[in-house]
Amino acid sequence: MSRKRASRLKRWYAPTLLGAGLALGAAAPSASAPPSGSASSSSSLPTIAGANIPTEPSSPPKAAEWKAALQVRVSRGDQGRCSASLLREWLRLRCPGWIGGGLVAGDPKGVTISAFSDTSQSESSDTSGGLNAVTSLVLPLRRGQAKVVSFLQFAEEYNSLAAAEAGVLSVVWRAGRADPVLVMTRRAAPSMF
Amino acid sequence: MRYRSVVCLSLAWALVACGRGSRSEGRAQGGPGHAGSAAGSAASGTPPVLVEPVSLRGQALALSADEATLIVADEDHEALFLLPPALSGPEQVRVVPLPGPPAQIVALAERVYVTVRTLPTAASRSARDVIRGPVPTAEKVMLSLPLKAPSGPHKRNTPAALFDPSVVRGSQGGLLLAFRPEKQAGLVEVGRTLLAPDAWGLAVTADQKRALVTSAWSAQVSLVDLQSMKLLATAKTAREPRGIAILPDGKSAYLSHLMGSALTHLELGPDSVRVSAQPLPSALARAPVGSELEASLGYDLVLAPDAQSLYVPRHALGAEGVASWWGAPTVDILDLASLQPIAPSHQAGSARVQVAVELRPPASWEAHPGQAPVPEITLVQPRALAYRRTRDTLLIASEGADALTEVDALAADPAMVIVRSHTLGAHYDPFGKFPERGGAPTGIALSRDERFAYVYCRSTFDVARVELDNGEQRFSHLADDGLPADAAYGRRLFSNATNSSVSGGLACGSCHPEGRDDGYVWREGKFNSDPPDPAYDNGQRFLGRRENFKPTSEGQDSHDSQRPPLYPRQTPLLAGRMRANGPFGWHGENPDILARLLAGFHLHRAAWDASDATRDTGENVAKIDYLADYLRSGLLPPPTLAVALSPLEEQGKALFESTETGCTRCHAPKREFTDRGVTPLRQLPARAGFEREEQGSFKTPSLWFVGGTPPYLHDGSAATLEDLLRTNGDRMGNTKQLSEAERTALAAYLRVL
Repeated sequence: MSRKRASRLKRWYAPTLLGAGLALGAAAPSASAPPSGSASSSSSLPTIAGANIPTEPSSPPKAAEWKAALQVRVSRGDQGRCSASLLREWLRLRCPGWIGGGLVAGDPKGVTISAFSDTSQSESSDTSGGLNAVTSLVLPLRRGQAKVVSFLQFAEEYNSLAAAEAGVLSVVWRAGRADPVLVMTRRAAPSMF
Repeated sequence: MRYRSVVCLSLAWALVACGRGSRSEGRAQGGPGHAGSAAGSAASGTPPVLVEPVSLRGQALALSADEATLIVADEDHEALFLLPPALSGPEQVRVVPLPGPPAQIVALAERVYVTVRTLPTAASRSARDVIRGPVPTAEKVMLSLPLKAPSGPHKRNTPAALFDPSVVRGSQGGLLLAFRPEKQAGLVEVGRTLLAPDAWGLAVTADQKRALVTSAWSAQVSLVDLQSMKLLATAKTAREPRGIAILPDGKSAYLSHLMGSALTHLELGPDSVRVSAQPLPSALARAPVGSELEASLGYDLVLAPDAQSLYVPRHALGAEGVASWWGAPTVDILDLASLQPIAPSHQAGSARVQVAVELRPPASWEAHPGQAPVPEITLVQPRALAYRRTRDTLLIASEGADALTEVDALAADPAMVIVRSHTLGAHYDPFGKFPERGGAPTGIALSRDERFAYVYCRSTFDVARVELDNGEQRFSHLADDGLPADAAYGRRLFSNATNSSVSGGLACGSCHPEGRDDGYVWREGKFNSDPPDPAYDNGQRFLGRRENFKPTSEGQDSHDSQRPPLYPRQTPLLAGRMRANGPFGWHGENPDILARLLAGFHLHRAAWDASDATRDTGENVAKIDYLADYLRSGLLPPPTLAVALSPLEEQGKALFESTETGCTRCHAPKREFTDRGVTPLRQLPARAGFEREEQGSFKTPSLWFVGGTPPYLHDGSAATLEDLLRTNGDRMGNTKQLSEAERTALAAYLRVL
């Protein structure tokens, strides 16, 4: 994707604000955002332990609070360039290069998905058609609950751009189990070329 | 400890392998194939090796307890094949002919148990001998399958050897056979138990004293004492019970079913089985908001190692997802503590967003924010599974994709998280696009160390050994297909979902497993393909649910943007009902079977990928020939007991044949209980979610096997034959004058047709 082509990108989708706490913006993420993760860099991080998650629900963290978050990784699968942070029961997943996503299944309460352009990212590492797109997911990890979230990426086609599946996050915290299990899978970017 | 206190000698198996000679390659590699080890110990006087069975769950193939022998149940050749697990060493091969078609095997240390679907009557035996072809021999087993070039294009024009379903179906019952290992023969029968016909699924309790057997078509489960081979108890179940999972305490078990989403829960007493339904909604994360989905293809289920979860791979009918008009594969998980599904529900008002840029408007088959992921083509028509405890993954035999697919067992819906897929299908025929090797995986045996998976590929009669961590594969070919060549090709096409010009992503065998039915009422209507295809605009197609209809976003016209009228069409049984010349179709609209199959291709959205030159003529018609040959000469009818009518059934027969009821006016007994005519019938009230029929005339269906195909009527509105007769009045014949007792008698007779 050339910069020239990227410059032709303009707003098409009106913000579709569905569900509680949904945010959509063009602003850069908060300064507290951790550096982009990779499979190799995240593998040294701890997985999410139930012992670190209070049983009493709390309010969603404010932007500044994420500075104190614990850097973690999903339990299984491939989180690619996504980085994961845990603050109280709140998980934030930040995925550079992905252009959006949505909650497929599970309680939508407290789930926030935002997609934005982060111009602070290096152009060379961008995989979102020159947009420096980042998708950020925040959700509460609650005992006895399960969720499925899907993510999108660009699919470049002849003379047009389309969205394609990028990955899936499965969250299962079975009642009576000590820890939640987060499984992530990625799909390769399709291309017509 | 997985298998309580029972630890057995493997000496018997060791003697078999030792007598056949050479040390196996598998042992040399440190994998399965410890025959040399055990035999050597016995010969040298050192204490014999103590081993547990590798698995107590029945599959189409099983490793012996010492992993020295791989035993394969070849249903179509009606034989067991005993192979060295390394798939090398021809002197170790044995073939054990059976009295009928085997389904599943459990190998204990000194006994091997095998279910046999039917013990045929003498007449059926003769007919089956012709269909099966030559008795397989050890000499013809190709342990290392040579890589041969695809042989097409070809149409051999081998004549279809039509069989008479009324003869082939004849059964004395199903069987549970017990064998002991023996040096020369491989296995020697030491006991048998006669069960209800179509004995299929098999599982042994942890103490190895009792077994459960499902009889699929008979809808029964049987409890057998393995020491005496005495039948302890039987119980009726919902339709088509298949897989069995026995809990470690041996006091309860679950069954999966070929149709419907519910499982069956069994309470096992000393000589009793109590049956109850256990709901398990299918693919909750893919279900349209506020709805629950039905399921099909529940061939198998397995407990997690901690016995806290039950995994059921199957096909979720009407599940949402890109291009999922037929639904999607799923692995439904039941939490055995709460008896609730693990998967979360698809909910309205969920968060979804996409970065604000200009994209081409997404077509209905493309990704949208918050949409369930696209079902992966590597997981189609789940047929068998195994839990890989060292990885917490599930291995699934993906029949339609010719693959062994590994999914993450700890995900909410493991079918959404595919870890790896081992493609087994190879050497695809350039004309028919069916595999010449590794077709239709139907059974899995996992080695004790979980390094190797053995897969039986039923449409090509191969056994694959897959080294799971590096993907290396080795194949053996058991026997050639006994059917005429064209019918054999049809067998491969019937189960294959990768052939775009026939299956459209879901094989014939998905809705007609084993030629039977999925018990589902589909939505059929006329609407455009998506993506649009001028050649097939306004074509006849079907959907799992109304929600699966997505107006096209490109090239929309007024038709696309409408919600098309959808009519209910229950999947019909094929096996044993395909011998007539015609007409076929709900309204008799297809003059012969070839025309019906071509219409079926359209229903399946096949032809999408086919060029104009191959669509309705030429290659597709030749493929239809293959399928027609298979349907008529290879797709065997369900086995049913060949016994004299009971007094109640005799009473029902008299009522059926009476001029007052008039049943035989259309359901002619000498013509497979159908005149194949199209009869105007009083319209039924439209069912919720469907439109009222435009055309009230329907072709008279055959009543053969009708007792096993509920629900009834084209719209599935009658749950039982009694329901149908109670509400029929004078719509079909005249049953309104019948008393309840007479209706009961008539239904009893219909059940034996």
